[in-house]
Amino acid sequence: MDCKRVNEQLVDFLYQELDADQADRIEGHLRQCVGCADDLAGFESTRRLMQQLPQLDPSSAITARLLAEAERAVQPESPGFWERVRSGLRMLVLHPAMTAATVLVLVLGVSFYAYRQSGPLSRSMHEDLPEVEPVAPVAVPTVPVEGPRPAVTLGAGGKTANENKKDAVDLLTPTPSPDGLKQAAGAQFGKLTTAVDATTGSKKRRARPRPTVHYRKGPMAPKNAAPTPNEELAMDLDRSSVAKRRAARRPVATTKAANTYLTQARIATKISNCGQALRLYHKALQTDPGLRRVVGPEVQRCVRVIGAAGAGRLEKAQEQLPLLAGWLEAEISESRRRDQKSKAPTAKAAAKPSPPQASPAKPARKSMGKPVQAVDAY
Amino acid sequence: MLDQLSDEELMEAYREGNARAFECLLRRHQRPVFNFILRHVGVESVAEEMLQEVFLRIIKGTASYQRTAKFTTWLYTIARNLCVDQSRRAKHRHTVSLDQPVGRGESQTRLSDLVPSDDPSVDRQAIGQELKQRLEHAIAQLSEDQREVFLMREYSGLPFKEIAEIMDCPENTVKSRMRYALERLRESLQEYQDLAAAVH
Repeated sequence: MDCKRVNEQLVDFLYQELDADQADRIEGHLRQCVGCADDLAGFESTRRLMQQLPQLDPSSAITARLLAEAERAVQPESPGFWERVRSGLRMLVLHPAMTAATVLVLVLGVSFYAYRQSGPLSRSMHEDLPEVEPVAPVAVPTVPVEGPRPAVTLGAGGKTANENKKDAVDLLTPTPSPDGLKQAAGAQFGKLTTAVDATTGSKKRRARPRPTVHYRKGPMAPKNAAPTPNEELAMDLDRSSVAKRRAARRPVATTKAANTYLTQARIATKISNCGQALRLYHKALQTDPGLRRVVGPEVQRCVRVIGAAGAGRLEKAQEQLPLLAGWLEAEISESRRRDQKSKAPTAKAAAKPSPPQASPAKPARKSMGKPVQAVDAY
Repeated sequence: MLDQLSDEELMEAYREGNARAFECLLRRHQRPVFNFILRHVGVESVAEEMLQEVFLRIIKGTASYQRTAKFTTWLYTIARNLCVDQSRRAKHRHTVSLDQPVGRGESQTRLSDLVPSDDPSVDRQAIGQELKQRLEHAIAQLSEDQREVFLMREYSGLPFKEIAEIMDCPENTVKSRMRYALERLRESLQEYQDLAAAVH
């Protein structure tokens, strides 16, 4: 091996990057060639000197910062909004069954929302429902305990569904109970009740051309039976019963004006302003003659209260309120008969019918003012 | 356990979420890379910033790292590119180096020699300090290509083949630069050859 060849590989030899054979050949040449050996010795001494140069370390703050950054970089980041949307869509595409289920849920949700927003089902759907036959109205008990609940069929009164809904909402009590809400919902979506009846095989009811109030068949409270104090107390204590009573007496007219008159009349009745109540009942009937069955018992009670003071006021009312003439006339004749008997009291008085105070409404009102006795009796 | 793994295996582990693997890599390479950068730029604070930038680029490029590539090749390529950029920027600045000789004629006095040192044991460390300065000065006198090759081979321990990949030049060119660098250093440090023999 000549010096030129050795010089070419001297650096490799210095840094031990030659294989064993090449290294042996160069070592053999170096033993014979002083010049090449001096070159190698000079390089080696230079390397040794350069090794004296201290190697510095970077500050620990740099190391800590880099380690923190490295740890943060490999931590799974929470996906952003669009990334979540993208992954969701990807999942829907990859899973057709899940896609179908999602679409079904969406359709059902939107349908239910639209149904809630626009009242009963669309008119065409409503017309497709089975016709409802009229049911004979049942006398409203004074205090319905578990009694009937009016099931109202709406939709043919010329009012939109939203108007009906607003009417019902206006007449809700300030804090409607769940049952009250249920009742209002029943009034709003009466056709649902009809549909349920139709599916359960109950007697079909034919919808009338105008809104009609009738009562669903079911367990009825005994007619003209005044509740015992225990029953009244139970009703008073049972908030749901109170709510049921309120719901049962809730106006069900199809126009807002009629409902307003009806509500005001009931308020007047409650504060014993029976004259004003009769005028308001009359206005309600003028606005909506279909309320005749609903207001009948209430008008009758007012007429009895007025008739207790004499037939004079009833006769005057008969002239001013022609729509209440039937109830007024019956009470006028009754009042006259009582007057005659009071003028000529005989032993037969015991056989006469009970006075109006004995009507079912009276004990109910009295009992409200005597809860202590009722509690004892209960 | 992690210390037994190669750089490439550590990088794979880090890519799979093992932050300890990166810590091992950092401990293994930050010192030679830092000194490589420091010998280039000469200022410790700048060298630290550049070291941080090098490893931040490694972190960002973890996902695209291919195991076929040698980790050190990638690492020093990034470091060298940053050094080259820094050198280009430094050429546009009018700064005075502490290693620059002051005065005229054949005076070897440098600016750093005139700046008073805060080190209390100056006398004791005078010789070692002088040798260190002479070594640094000798390295600084090398051309950029020669210095890069010398630093990567001498201090970082990279083989010539890998240096050739990093510098994107033939391996023989790298060896040639190394030989010229050694010859120039030997000339610069001729007066210290006896000291070198004593160290040996």
